[in-house]
Amino acid sequence: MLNKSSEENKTTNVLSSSLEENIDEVKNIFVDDATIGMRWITNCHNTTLKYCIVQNDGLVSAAIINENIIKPLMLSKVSLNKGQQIDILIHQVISTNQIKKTNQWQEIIEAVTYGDTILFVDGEAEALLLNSKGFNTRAIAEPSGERILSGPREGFCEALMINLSMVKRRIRNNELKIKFQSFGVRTHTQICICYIDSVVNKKVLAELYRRLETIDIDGVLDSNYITEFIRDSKLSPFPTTGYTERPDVVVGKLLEGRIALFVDGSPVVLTLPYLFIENFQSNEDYYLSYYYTSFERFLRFWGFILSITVPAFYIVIVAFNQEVLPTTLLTNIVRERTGVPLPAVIEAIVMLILFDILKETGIRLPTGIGQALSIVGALVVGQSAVSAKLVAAPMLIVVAITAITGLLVPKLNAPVIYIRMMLIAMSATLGLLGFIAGISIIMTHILNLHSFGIPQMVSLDNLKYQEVKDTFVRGPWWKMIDRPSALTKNKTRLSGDDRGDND
Amino acid sequence: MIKRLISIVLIIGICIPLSGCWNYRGLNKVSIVTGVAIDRNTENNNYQLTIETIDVSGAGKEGTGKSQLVEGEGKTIFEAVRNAKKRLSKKLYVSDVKVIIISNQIARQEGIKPSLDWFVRDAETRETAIPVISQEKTAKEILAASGVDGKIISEELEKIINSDREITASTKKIASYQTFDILLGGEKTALVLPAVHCTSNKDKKVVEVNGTAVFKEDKLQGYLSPEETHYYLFAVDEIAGGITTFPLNKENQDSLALEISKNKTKKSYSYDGNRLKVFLDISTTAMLGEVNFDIDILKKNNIEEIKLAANLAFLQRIEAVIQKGRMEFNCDIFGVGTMIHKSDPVLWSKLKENWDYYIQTMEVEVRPEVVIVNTGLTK
Repeated sequence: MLNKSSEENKTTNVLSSSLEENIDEVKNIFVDDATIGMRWITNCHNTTLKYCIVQNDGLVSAAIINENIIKPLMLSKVSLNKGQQIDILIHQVISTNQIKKTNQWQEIIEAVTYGDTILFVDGEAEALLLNSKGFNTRAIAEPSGERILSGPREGFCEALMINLSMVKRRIRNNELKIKFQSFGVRTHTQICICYIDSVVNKKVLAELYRRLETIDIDGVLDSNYITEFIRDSKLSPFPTTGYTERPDVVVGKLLEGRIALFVDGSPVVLTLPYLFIENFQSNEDYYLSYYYTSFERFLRFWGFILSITVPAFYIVIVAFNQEVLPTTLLTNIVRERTGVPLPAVIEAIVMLILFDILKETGIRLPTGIGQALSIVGALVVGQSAVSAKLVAAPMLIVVAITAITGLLVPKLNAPVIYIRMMLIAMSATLGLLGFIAGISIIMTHILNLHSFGIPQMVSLDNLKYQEVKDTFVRGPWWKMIDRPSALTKNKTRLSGDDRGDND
Repeated sequence: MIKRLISIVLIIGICIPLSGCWNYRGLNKVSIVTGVAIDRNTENNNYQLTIETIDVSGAGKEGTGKSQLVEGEGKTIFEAVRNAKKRLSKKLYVSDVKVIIISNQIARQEGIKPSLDWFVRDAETRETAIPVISQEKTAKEILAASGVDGKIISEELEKIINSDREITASTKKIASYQTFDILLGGEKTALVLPAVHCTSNKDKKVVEVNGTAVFKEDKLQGYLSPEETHYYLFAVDEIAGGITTFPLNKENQDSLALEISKNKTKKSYSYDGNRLKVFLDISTTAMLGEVNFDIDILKKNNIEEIKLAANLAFLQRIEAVIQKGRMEFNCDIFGVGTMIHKSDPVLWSKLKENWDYYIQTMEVEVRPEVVIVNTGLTK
């Protein structure tokens, strides 16, 4: 609309001083948009003072407009002169918390569509943008994707300011920096970059700004839109930026020197840089006993390793290196395999895809149908396939282990699918040789991953407790002296006196 | 780019030593061989192999499957195995062979080395198979017998031999690679392999381990009964359990049983220029397992008496076995040669020439020392 009208009349980029002309222009800009409401106001003490407010129904709070904008304008006894009243209006008449002067139509359009009220004043070539946002947002609730047993249960919602408020409440410090940018040629989505000034790695910050500049997109609906533009190794299935829906996680990452990137309209907040170990970390690790959570870490590591290797290794054993099996196990597997028509490889691929289908339908379905699905999955596919000798029973166990362990590391679900299939293919053609080759390729790839110039894996050349305290185990808090060395130059987290003096 | 290419080549290169052999083999196309019995067909002088495989077809929830025998003949063992395949739709999978049963004719007349060669040389066979000697007319009869615990004779036999050491101590387990170590060792230690025979149990013909077979070089010389083997194991310090039964004295022939819990045998020797003397210091820790007569074991004298009786029984029986090995089989079943070789190679090279003579003439002194640590009952 804007483009069309501005092409017709170049002069309409800025406001004119005639109220009627401006209102005509508003009507012209928002033609065919029935939600734009206008209201003419005349001051009751001085009828020469005419105003018109423009607001977008549904985005505004009627109470604010009635009480703080219309009422003072109508009843104001402040002496005003036509053509010189803008500043007096701002300072003495209108009682909203945010007021901004502008003479740019573009700014007016963005403000109206975000719930601001525009005050056009007769005889002024400037309009006032008054904050009157009053749209409803989803309630703050625990994010269903990141449930925990204990710890803060707040989750982000879709409104940027509410999200920021949850973070600010947790870091009551002037070093928390919050900067806005807007992206999307059509959506003008607000994006907020958030970091702690004294902890953040300035190089990473500069790199982030540089990459953000390259974004060219018409709309941003979720933080993943941004992720795919700014991430490293764009073709890798491994994540190189983190995401979360929890304010406590964001604050934890900020304190370690990371940067958070909020996107208006999405509860998912990006955190970067992203280390490989973060795939295995959960905020709950820090809220429960470190004995317990260290074990959980161990489970997640093994879950990842098992999930990618179990089917491929099974194929290696069954098709190439039966020598590793003890006789009893060998006999059992031979017995199960006898009479099954398909080779183990095809069996594995079919069953794994079948499981992914079940998983995908389970996620999208309404909750009521989920049960029916699990019955179909467990009974029809599992039991019957085995008793009909379509699938060997050990394969079902293998698929079950693969599937369950895969769920331990939800952040790696994308790479896991592809790695698993790649390993299966390589194992099926080259046996253990292919398996080892596949593992080597994956290791090489993971060791090569960077996030904003920082290697995702820590090198082993300088192995110290402070480097591994939060990797394979979760060290106790009084031993978490340093921040992750890869992320920040400001190393020490604890001040000297409270260093673990228990030992 | 070149760097990257080289890295990829190196990555693939390192996989080869990391991963071992490469060979596709569908598990539903193999037949698992658990045991092989080797006989000699007297008519055409071929090896006659009886191969036991696991028949999984009937199996389901009721156990691990049945035994299935297939025969094959050939000039060599390998050829005989290949010939057996002609009767089978599946490939024979020989990596899980548990026992190699050799007929006593082959062992006595031609030696076991040629028969075992393929089992150690071939890539697919595993060197941990246990060679055993059949005391029946043919080795095949062993595989044709039935098991008590399991349906697969070779597996049952292997389990019996494996668990023998700690419970019954009546035979000696030795894997095929160790067999070859001894045969090629040049120290003239006698090879001792388990011997098996068939016996009747509840009207069924079942397999029983029956002591050991003693070899000179690779030729069978004779057998040690299970009891003799038991004392032989004392002499070579291989005992880890088992029961010794003996009478208290001449007047009281009722038996006592000792359960052996620990044993350490120290071998030493002296050589004064022409006479070789070997000492065996046997210190045994045992528990009193059974007493078949009235005796107050709380009395110190009585315990001493039991100890003396045990010492005497050990002395006599161990000496008897040693004598049998030296005189009857004319071989060094206790590894005296190995001991001398290790401690004094010069002396060994001197004695080696005339080793048979030294075996015959050497003096052996057995010095048993039994300690009874537990008498079980109090009163």
